[in-house]
Parts: sequence; structure tokens; C-alpha cells
Amino acid sequence: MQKISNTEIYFIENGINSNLRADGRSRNDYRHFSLETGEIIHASGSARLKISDTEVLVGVKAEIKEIKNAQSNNDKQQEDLKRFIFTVDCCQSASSEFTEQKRLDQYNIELAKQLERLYSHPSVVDVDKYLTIVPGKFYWNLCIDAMVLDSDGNLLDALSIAIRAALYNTVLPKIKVITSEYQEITFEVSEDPEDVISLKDAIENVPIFITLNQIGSQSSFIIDSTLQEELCINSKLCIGINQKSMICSIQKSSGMEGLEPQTIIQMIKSAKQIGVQIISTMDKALKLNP
Amino acid sequence: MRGSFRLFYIQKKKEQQKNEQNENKNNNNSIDIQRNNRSDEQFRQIFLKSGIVSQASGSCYIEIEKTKVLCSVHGPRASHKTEEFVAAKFNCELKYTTFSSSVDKYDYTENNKEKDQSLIIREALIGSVRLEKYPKTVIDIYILVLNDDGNVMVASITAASMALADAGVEMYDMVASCSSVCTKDRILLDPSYQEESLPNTTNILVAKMPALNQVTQLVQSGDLSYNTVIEAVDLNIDGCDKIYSIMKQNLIDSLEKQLKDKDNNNNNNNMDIK
Amino acid sequence: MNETNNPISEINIEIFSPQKRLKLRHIEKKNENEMEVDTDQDEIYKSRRLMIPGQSIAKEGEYLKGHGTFHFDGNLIASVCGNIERVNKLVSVRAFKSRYNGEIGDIIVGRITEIQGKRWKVDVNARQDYFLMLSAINLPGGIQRRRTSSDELQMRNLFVENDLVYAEVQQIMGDGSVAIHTRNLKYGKLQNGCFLKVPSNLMKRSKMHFHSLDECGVDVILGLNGYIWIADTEQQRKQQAFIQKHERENFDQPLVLPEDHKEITKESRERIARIKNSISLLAEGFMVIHPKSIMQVYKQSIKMALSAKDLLHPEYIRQITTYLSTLPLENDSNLDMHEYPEEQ
Repeated sequence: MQKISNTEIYFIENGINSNLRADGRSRNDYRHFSLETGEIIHASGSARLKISDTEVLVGVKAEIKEIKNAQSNNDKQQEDLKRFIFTVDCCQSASSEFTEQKRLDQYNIELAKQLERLYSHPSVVDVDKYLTIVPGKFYWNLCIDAMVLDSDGNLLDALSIAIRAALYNTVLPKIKVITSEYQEITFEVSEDPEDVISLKDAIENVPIFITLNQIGSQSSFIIDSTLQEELCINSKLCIGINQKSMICSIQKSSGMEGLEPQTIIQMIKSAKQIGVQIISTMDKALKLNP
Repeated sequence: MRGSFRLFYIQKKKEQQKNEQNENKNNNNSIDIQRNNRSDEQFRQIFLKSGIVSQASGSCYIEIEKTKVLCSVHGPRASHKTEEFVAAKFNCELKYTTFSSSVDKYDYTENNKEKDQSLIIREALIGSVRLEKYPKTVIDIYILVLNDDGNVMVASITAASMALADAGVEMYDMVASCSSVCTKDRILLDPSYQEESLPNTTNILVAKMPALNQVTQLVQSGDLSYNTVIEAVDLNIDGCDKIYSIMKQNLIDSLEKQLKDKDNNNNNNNMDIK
Repeated sequence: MNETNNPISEINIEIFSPQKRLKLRHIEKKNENEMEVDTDQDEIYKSRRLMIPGQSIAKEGEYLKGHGTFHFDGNLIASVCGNIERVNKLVSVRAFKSRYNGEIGDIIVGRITEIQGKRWKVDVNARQDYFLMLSAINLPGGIQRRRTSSDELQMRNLFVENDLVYAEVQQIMGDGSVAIHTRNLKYGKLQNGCFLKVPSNLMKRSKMHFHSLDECGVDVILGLNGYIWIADTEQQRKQQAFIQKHERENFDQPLVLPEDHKEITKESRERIARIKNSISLLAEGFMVIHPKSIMQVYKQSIKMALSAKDLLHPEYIRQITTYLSTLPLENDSNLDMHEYPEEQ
């Protein structure tokens, strides 16, 4: 497991206070990342993201969900509304931190729940336009499985960006609905690989996470932390931002200290700027390479 | 006796279901809901009592109208692993009883929702405890939700903080929390179960240490603009201060009562000796 | 106050496309059969044969088997991937990538993992943790005396878990455990600098492991186990002077470094970051790490007018790596990792 001594923490903290991190970046600098889509043929959509040493692979599988009781009670209704099902799996080979099985399970669930919260609002994807087969009865459910292959810090950001790219890459086959005489509904799934609905335009409002780590004094926070920096954080705020600068999710985590309300406001402001910039750069790059 | 009780229970359940169906219809028609007895920023009645579980180091029972939560703290107690040398290990477990909700289905085993909520509560509390004072120990917090009528997280964090104070664990400050539900143009503090399950709304939970003015937990889900978020967070922070004053008052009252009881016992003993 | 006015620098995203991927080249099989090694000694040495596990080296009786080889079915077979080494009749295969194997006299940087009775356990990226005995360190004040039980109770004042130490391998016991010592004024606890980990096979044995790079004002300690320590020269000198003064005058009181002795200027931080990224670049390109190569990368990055953080960008890494490979061969001793060059 990665460990760090007090004097190293002191060195890193002071560097961040003077806006020069251990590897020469400033507080708001993101590392270079490479994105690749469409690697997995059997999935409806996939993407692979590499930020320095952090490597994440995401696959999207679509399945048809039937809503049986129209007049179900509240919670059932919520379950039925969920169009996205997230699973995160950090391979034990990803990092020596992940050797304890129980901790690993907990970590996987934590990440999956955070992503679920990010996509919890119905405005994320226009369900009626893209994911509806028969309104009220049959919908497309997207099972999003993310695998962490290697870890060098900043996992949640990498996961959210890779998921967004995977959704961009997702194609759903066109379905013809045939209602037989006895009110039975059958589907005719088009076999033509060209006859598909692409979700390229559906991801307009899909948000990504920006993780802000507060290190050292209250007012200094960094984005895109390396593994070494993550050992020095006082607290972490993960903020979900979409293209329209709307804030889709906030969660504070892994903090031994609290945050002052002023700092939170500044962090949200920073995250907004950075998030919008990343999404626009990403979209541009994705459009150039279909 | 038993027979009549069962009849009463079944009648009550039917009533509840009818009410829920009505509410569902209302919800389907419009998102604007009518809050029955209180304004948007008003809390429901809170009842707190600490020191009720005899086997635990500290405990607290809280009722926010119909939501009932019981929290017990075990520790600091010895841990056998040497990795906990520098500071205490802090564990938090939340469990819903199987009868806590008529809608959600809870099993005897821990499901993902409980794990997630446990982590959020742990994060809210860990900043307030002086863990470095207890090396080589473990502090366990067990939270049991007896009835879920909305705002379970706030109840849990409040009860846990009071239980830690009851257990005599060294803390920087108590943690007060407040949550709200934001619809299109309204922010409702202290939501009930119906309000929490509305579609197209966002939830915000804030936990704060008022004396140090530090926010220890902030969870938000849903789509909000920057201004709405700031407004909601500010409102919740004010709500936290109100809850904090209730917690403080309750703690002082119970301590005074304990002192009075002790005095009474001493007097009785003296009288016996005489 | 965080500079939200600071323009956020460009975010680089690159999209791979399947066509861009390198095609696997098929390397022609050379004579795979058992080669009779009855030719000149020099020839084997010069050919620098690369071995894979299971590849046959020679017939059994001809050579003594060293590390990385075993006898099977009348043949001497390699058990690791690496180069053949030969000393007279002893043949061994030195692996390209393996855990650090300590030898007596090796200078290493280690991290304390545990405090046990009368000794510390130190992690040095080897198969097992090495031991630093209480009797193998210099007590504060420099006095030579027997270690008492009160010394044992005060071990925490000297080294705590996760501290970095600069030490030398003292001896290897019969059961394989290794003892290290810091019985020299230059060894001891490392403070106020930057730590970096690289594969241990890239470190060369040389006369000096502590290098003060004058051109950049940065101290670099290249531990043979792959743990590297980078610090600012000026600050370390100040710190060392303070510690020595403290030892002479009041060693019985706890050592507290004043704040101004811990300060590092922003320019020095930039230089330290540049050196750190240069070393990472060398590690990624699997090139030997020693002051000459580090300075080459450093100077090249300055010539290309790159800032320290640009050295993280794959494009620049590629450019500098190609530049390094064009330098004359004497500098690029990637293959001769077991040679002992003369260092100034």
C-alpha cells in the first residue's frame, strides 16, 4: 500500500499553497488523457480512458425492461424510473490498495452509488425520445459496467468521463413493435447493423464528475490528483457538472476535516468552469473521430 | 386483546394505503404539494433521549414526528490489529429494520443503499471526533432505523452525534445536519417520505459543526443551477444551526437531570446512614 | 486565495484510432535448437544473448549454474527473462525486471513500516522487509554507548512509521534476512523533499549515490533499490547545519526544525519538478538512471523550452526519448546494466 511520511506531506502541501505541485502542474491543471471508443464489439457501446497511469474501461449493454404494474407504489415507481444501472469493479491487480476484499467491495459500491446519484435526475437523457419502446410498458435499460484496470489517482473523474464517451458511442437497434390480436406485444429487432439509433445527440445533458481535493490551507484545492497527492488530502468534494453548467451532484468524501462554507462556494465555482471546458474539449475530440 | 389489536393494525394499514394512493394521484397531477401543518422552512417535532441502551457506551433515541431512529456507540475499545496505531478506527453501520417501511423491502443482510448511507454518515461524523486521542482502538456506531418517514439521514447523524457525546468520546464539536428537497421553485426543509420520493426533485443534505463553522458533509443529487445550489446550501446551513440548538438544550437538560438524580441518591444514602 | 482568475490551461485529449496502433512485427526465429557453446568466451559475452524462461543455454556439464538457471534433462536452462552473464565457468541469467536483491555495501533508500523490539522493519522494494537494528544507528549526540532499555522505549523519537531513511546494507543473515545500518553522518532520516519510485533494475552501481546536481541546485539520492529522493540543495544544507548544531549543543531535547529552514523557493520547486519528471521519463523509456542521463533530459527539456509539467505529455516524452537514442552509444548503456563505470 502506498504510504507517505509527514515531511513529504509537508512538501506537497507547501507546493500546493504556492500553486506549484510536485510534478510541476498548477492547481487547476489536468493531466493529458487519451480516450478510445468502440473497442468492445459485443457491447452496445464502450470506451477506454487513460489519464497518465489511471486506466478505466467502460462497457454499455442495453436490455429491454418491462414495467409490469402500472399502479405500483412509490418505491417500485422509482426503481422503474431508473434507466441506468451502474456497476464498478476495481480489479485487485489495479493497485495494492485493493488487496482487502471487504474494503474493495465497499469501495466498488461507493463509486457505483456516486455515479448513480449523478445520473439520478430524469433530465440526464431524454428518455421519451431515445429509450422508450412502448411508453408506459417497455423501455431500454442501460447497464453500465466500469472496470478499473490501473489506478494513479482521480478515479471518479476518469470513470464519469469514460462513461460519457461510452454513451456517445452506444447504438441501440431499431425495434418494430407488433401487437397481436390478443393484446400480446412482440418485438422485431432489426438485424441490419446500419439500422440503429445512436445516442450521440442524447448525451447533451450527461454530466461528468470533477473532484476537488482540499490540501493544506483551507483555500487551496487541486483537481486531478495523483496517488501521492491523494494521501495528503484533508477532504474531497466531488461535483457533477453538465454542459449547461448545471450542478447535478455534490458529495463530500474521504475527509478527516470539514470545509468552510466559503471554500465550498469557491470550489463549486471552479468546478463549473473546469467541467464545462472538459466537456467541450471532449465533445470536439469525439466528433472528429466517429 | 390480541385479536382486537390485529384488527386495529389492519385497519390502520388500509388507511395508510388509501392515503398513499391519494397522494400518488395528487403527485401525478402536479408537482406542487401541500404541506399540511407547516411552512416550507418549518421543522417537524423532534424528540431526543440519550442514555437508553444500557449495554452501549453511549446511545440516543430520536423521533422526528414519525421517523424513529436508535443509535448506539460502542467504544473506544481495544483493537487487535497494529495498523490502528496512530488514530482510532471509526466504523459506522446503518440498518433498516424489516418493518421500517411498508414500501421498500429490507432484508436481514446489508444492501447497497444501507452501505452507501453508512458511508455518508461516517463521513459526516469523522471530522468531529478526536481520533488521535485513542490510538489502537476502534469506535463502532450502530444505527437502527425503526420507522422511515423521511429525513432518516438527518435523524441518524443527529442521534449519532448525541450518542458520541453521551459516550464521553472526545470531540471537537457536535455535528448538526439538515436536509431539504428542492422542487422547481420551492425549497422544503425537513422533507417527509412522500416529499422525498417525488419525481423531478433534488435532495440536499448538509452536516455541519457550528462552533467551528465547518461543513463535514454535503450531498446533493439532481439538476440545479449554481444559484439555486448556493441558496439551498445556505438555507440548510441555517437549518443546521437550529437543530444544533435543540441538541444542545436536550443534552444540558439530560445532564442536569442526571446530576439531580445523583444528588437525590446521595441524600437518600445519607438519610439511610443516619 | 485561490486564483479563480487564473486561466485554466489547455486540456489535452487525444483519441486513438485502431489504424494508429502499431502492428506487431514478426521477429524471425534464429536457431532455436540447443546451441553448442564451445566458441570463444568473448563471443558469448559480446553477443549479449537475450534469454527467455525455458530456453536452453548449454549442455549440463560444461558450465556451473548460477542465478536464474537450472538443470533439466541434461541441459542448462534459463529460468528468467534477461541477459546471460558469464564469469569463467559460472553462467547466470540476470533478469530485466525483478525485485531488488540486496548485496553488502549497497546504498538504499527505505521506508519504515514497523517498529519492533530493538529494531525497525524497513520496506525497500525487495522480497522481504529489511531490518534496521537499534544498535546500527547513530544515537543523537554521537555518543558511543550500549543501548539501554530506555533507548528501546524511545525508538519513536528517532524513526516513526512511514519515515524515509538513507542507509547501507550491512549484512545478510543465514536465513535470508538483511540488516541495514546508518552508521555514517551522511546517512539517516530524509526530510523535506520529494520521493519517487522506479524499477530497481534501472539503477547502476557506482561509487556515489548522493549526487548534488550543481546546474540545477537539486540534490538527488539514487537508491539502488529504485527508491529516489529529490530535494533542494540550499534548503538541505541549511537543514543539515541546523541538525548538526542541535546535535552538538542540545541533543537530549527533541529536534524541531524552524519554519524558515523548511522553506523552498518557487523556482527551486520548478527545478525539482523538472528533475522528477525527467527521471520518470527515463524510467518509462526503460533507460538507465544516473546523473549524466538525468542531466541530458533536463538540458534537452530546457532547450525545447518546455515547462516542467510539459514533460508529462506523451508527445514530448516521445520526442525526448528519440533524441536520447540518437546520442552516441557510450551514453546509452541500456544493455550493460551490470557494468561498473567510473563516476566522477
